[in-house]
Amino acid sequence: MVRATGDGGFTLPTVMLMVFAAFAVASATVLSSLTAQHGTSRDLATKDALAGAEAGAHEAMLRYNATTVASGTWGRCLPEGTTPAAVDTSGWAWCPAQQAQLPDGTTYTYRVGFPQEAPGAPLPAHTAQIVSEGNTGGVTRRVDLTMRSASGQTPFSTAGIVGLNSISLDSNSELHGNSATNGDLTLAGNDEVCGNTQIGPGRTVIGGPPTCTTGTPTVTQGVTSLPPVNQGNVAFDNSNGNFFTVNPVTSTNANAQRLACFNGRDATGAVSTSCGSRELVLGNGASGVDVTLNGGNYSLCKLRLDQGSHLFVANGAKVTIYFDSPEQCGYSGLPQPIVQMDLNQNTSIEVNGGTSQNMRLLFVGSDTIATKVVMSSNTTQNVACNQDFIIYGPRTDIELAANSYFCGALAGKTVSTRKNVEVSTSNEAEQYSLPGWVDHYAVDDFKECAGPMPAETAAPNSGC
Amino acid sequence: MTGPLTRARLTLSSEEGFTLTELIVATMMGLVVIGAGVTVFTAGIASQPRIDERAAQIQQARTMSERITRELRQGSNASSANPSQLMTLTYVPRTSCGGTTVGPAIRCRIFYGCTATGSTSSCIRTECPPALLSPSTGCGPPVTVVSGLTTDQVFAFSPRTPGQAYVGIRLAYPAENGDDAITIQDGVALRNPPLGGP
Repeated sequence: MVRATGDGGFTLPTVMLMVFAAFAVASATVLSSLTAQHGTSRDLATKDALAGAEAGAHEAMLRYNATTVASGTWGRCLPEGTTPAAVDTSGWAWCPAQQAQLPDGTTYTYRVGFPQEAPGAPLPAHTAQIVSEGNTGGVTRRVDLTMRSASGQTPFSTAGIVGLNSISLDSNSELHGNSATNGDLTLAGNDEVCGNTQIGPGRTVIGGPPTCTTGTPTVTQGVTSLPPVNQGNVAFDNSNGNFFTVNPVTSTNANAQRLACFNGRDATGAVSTSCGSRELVLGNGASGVDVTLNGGNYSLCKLRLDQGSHLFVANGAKVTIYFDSPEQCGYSGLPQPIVQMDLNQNTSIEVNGGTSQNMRLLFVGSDTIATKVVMSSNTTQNVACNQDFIIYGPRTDIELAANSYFCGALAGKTVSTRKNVEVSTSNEAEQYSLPGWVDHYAVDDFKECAGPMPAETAAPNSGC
Repeated sequence: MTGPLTRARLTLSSEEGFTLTELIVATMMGLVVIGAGVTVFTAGIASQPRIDERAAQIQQARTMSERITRELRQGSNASSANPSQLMTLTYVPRTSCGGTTVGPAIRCRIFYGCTATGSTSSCIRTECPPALLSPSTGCGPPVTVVSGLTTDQVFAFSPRTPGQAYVGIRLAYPAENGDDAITIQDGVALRNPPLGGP
């Protein structure tokens, strides 16, 4: 009875041994699991931190785009009242750091910098840099984003013929002036390239080297950047109402009046199906119709000149035509590319008594819908150039059809010519600066940086 | 009445102890417990190299995935002739493409190529100057960045014209015990405006 009820025996040591063994096994399992989970946790934190950094950069861009400040105040820090620190050794002045927290606890800190003019080394105006750092539980990621506004930029200062993705010439074509592309320059037989050319990194002159009877062109490699068109408030506040009144159809012939169409009505005021909203069609497939513009800003979705029609700019007048994005024009879902300017044979856009700067055609374009400009003017080379104007459409393809002669300056996503095309640039065109609307920035360059954000007394973009 | 001293004397002089049955049962149970512990321990020891290898593979895949996505995020251009190849023009924090000295980021062309060798596949990374459109003289040494994959079909390339590309990455490791196949997947859209050409 004593043994049966006794506490002595094997129970306690055995249970302790079992508990110890179970604890050891469980500990090993937990440790192993923790080790495995550590990498996953770090990956998630890394992604959250990066997302935080990008959120900060985009908040900064949105803030600078959305805050209505007067034109010409580029370089002012936000929020109002904050001032940039002293210019760093790279010529940038950095605004004070701004911080915020995302709902998941990730924090971000960003600083915005503006380049400063330095004697002998001017830095690009209307450009800003954002350095933003995200922090998730001590894991940090930093990004460096350069943003540019089109306002006041001189896109042709180094090259009057720019095809962002490529420049392609068919045979017997001539370029007179500097050209630039991020892609290849493609040449065919008997082409002349009279001017220096910059091609993209790693790109080539296909069918080259380029030649010119009056000199030897140089070819360099580099990156060309064109900011997207900023149309300000022109889509809503413009001179479109002047069509066929202040800007009359030259001929009073009733037939000509009916062949001119804008915004769904012809020049007699009758409803017409030959043009849609903000579309200007002259000629409508028949004889030529001429319209003279007397200055101002216009907002179009499409311009088509049919056989022998002409668009004139009155003597001394300055005209800027903005071609709105295909999305805003209701062209989503239509076959691409959307031809937003179509100059058929023997048509022209001519400036009376002025230079190329008197007529500017700016195409907003789209990142998702392909847009195009087609010029089939069929003018003769080696005569006084009557197609003298500016075309700027960094997201629009430009095609010059056979036997056309264009002067001025042009910039598109791609530039291509058919046979016997001549393009000449001029000093006036190369000095053209884009309209100085209130800055609207777009991303120009994105980099990730190494290491955490430096102290506020240092340049935040070190290690980027 | 027995005092403490008397009780101690009685205890010490007692011949009472564990019975044979108790000892046998305790020994048996102890052996079972020790045997179980030894079995678990030896199994752990035996599987440790495989676990270490697996952990290294996962870490290698994570590193490669992080590296590619980082390079693609900063990329201007990317192209993929087939799912086992990727070429991108991107920023690299080096003083020269293919070099080893860290410096401010410069644009370089990066090539990833994955090939099957026997039953597994591996991928190499080659860093070149932007002017080179294929790995050749002037590039840095090719470096194996991941190995032991089930397949060399790693990249899923989604071009957007116009617009920027999206690249998916899928690193699949084979099952070794029938139920532990691992796949690490990620993807990224290029952030920089495209430059002309590839």
